[in-house]
Amino acid sequence: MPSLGLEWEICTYLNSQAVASFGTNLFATQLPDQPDTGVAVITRGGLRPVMTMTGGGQPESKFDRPNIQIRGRAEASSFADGNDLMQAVFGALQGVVETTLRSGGPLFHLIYALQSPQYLGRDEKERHQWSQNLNVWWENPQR
Amino acid sequence: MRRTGSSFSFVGTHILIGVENGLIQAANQVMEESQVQVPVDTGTLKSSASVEEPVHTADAISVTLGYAIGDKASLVNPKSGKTVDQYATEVHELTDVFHAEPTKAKFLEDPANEFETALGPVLQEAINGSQFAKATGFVADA
Repeated sequence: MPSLGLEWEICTYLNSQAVASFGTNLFATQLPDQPDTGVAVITRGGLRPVMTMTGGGQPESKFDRPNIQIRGRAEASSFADGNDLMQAVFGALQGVVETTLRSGGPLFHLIYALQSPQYLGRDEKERHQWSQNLNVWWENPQR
Repeated sequence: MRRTGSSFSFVGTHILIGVENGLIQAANQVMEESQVQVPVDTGTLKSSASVEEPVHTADAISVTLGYAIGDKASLVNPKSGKTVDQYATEVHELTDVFHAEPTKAKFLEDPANEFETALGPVLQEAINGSQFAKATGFVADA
């Protein structure tokens, strides 16, 4: 099964749900300085993989449980746009259960938010910033 | 039956005390590592750390740990003039800000996640190490 990597899988899904446009205001691994308003999906730590015994004396990593951080930003005069974007990402990802996020993609057992989107204040350019963290249980095809 | 019921209640009480002690130990161990990782400029954020007293509800015992909780939320950073609750989350969440090693963003979330594997054994040891367990030979398996 082809692997796009977790951030790309999530971004592809958010793009397909019309939450944001991948490459325009939705980014994987880091949030670039421009555009002012956008979100990024970043893999950040998380919990240990769940292991099972195969019966042959070898443990198997059944599924991974990384955290993803959603970093959001909006220009100084557009708090509502940024807040709406963060809430839309939250709504699309929270509660994903036992499904693939794209045709032929890996199975996602569960995605759950560790908290609601958090407002972080303004950056050095007076832009609004948000963060949200989710734990993802997925069958990483690279295992 | 009354005596049997009473005995079960007695055992349950001691298990709960063990769980409470285990949670406090776990929270302190997570906080100990977090104190190594928390970024330090003036030291205000680092000094705002706390492990709260256990809270009992009808079906749970919880111990809260963190930064800028309760009274410590109003600690003032002498450099910026901000209270620590105004910037603690920002320092924790902005992962692209440089911090000198071993300090870093995610200074609480990462130690907590890394402790997941150790939580069961810590609770088991706390329950088995209680006065009740020593007196009766009660053993909790992980």
